[in-house]
Amino acid sequence: MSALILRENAEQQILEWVRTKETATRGFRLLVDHYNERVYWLIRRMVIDHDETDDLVQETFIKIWKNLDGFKGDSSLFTWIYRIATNEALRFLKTKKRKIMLSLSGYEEYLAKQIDGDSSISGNEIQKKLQLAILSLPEKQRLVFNMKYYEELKYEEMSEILGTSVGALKASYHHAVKKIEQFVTDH
Amino acid sequence: MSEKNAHINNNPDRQEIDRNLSNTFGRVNPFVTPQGYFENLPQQIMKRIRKEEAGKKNSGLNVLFKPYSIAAISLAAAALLFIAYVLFIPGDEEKAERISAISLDELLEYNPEYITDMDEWLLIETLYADNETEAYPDDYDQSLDFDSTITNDDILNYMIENDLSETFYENL
Repeated sequence: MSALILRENAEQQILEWVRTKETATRGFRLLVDHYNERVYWLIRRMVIDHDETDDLVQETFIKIWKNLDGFKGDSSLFTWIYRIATNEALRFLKTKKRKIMLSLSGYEEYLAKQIDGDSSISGNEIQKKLQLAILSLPEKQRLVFNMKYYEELKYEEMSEILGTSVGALKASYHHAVKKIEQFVTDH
Repeated sequence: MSEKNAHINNNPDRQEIDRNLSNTFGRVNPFVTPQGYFENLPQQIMKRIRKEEAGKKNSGLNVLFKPYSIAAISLAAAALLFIAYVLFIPGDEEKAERISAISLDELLEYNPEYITDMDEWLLIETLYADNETEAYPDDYDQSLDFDSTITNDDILNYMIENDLSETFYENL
């Protein structure tokens, strides 16, 4: 039953339930079921480490729970959730960099080492090379690339999530792909 | 759309921009998660939410029992005791005596953990507020005070007599 509802009009159903006191918890559970994996992968591709991702995913959903009352429906629920997850990931990376007192490139190097020696990455050497190439991008460009390449989001959706114009996103993605191709050729 | 990006958006190959990449690498997700992770994740999230909610409900009462609240209450109590001790003593003379009689150790007994953070000299000044001269110990040697009659020549002569160069002081 719930699977059918989710397919047809999941967002509407979730919002109806979470806005009613008696069904709020059930509605939120439905929201978590529906979005947890997507939120996880969005964050994981940015922070690389599983444990840190796990913590951030939970923080993200707590923020969603706390702020649901303020969701006016100006954007879709999905883009609103993605925006919170994106902000959480970016905020985490910023804090992490500041904490370990490394330069921007220094932290990317740290992440690259994680990819090189991380047992939680199952891919072969070619896949690792692609991940290293993605890591060489500036953070926001990395976000744009991941959203387009892996999540296959539409530019319009990305524009709502990131608050950037569609044109700028297209340009950013184009440059990201060129940089990655160059990285792969050079390494 | 800005002119700068126009060439990209008008490029007929734009849709195929990542074709080479996807041909070479595919869109495989190389990251893995612990077994059964996603089956338990929603429960974990809901558990955290319930914890947050329970914490929010109890936060009104809990705030009184948190370590920092206990510290603040202890400090306030110590301050009140001190003020009451000072104010309810009749007569200036007796008051001064009682203030002088409070040793720093006695004061610290109220709450040593937090009072030690206070400026020790502020406490001493307060204790001796009515009898300033007593702030100095009985055996205070006033000859140690700076002698304003000493001139620069006196200093130079002293240095020459004792074979002390200017660099000696600079290197101290």
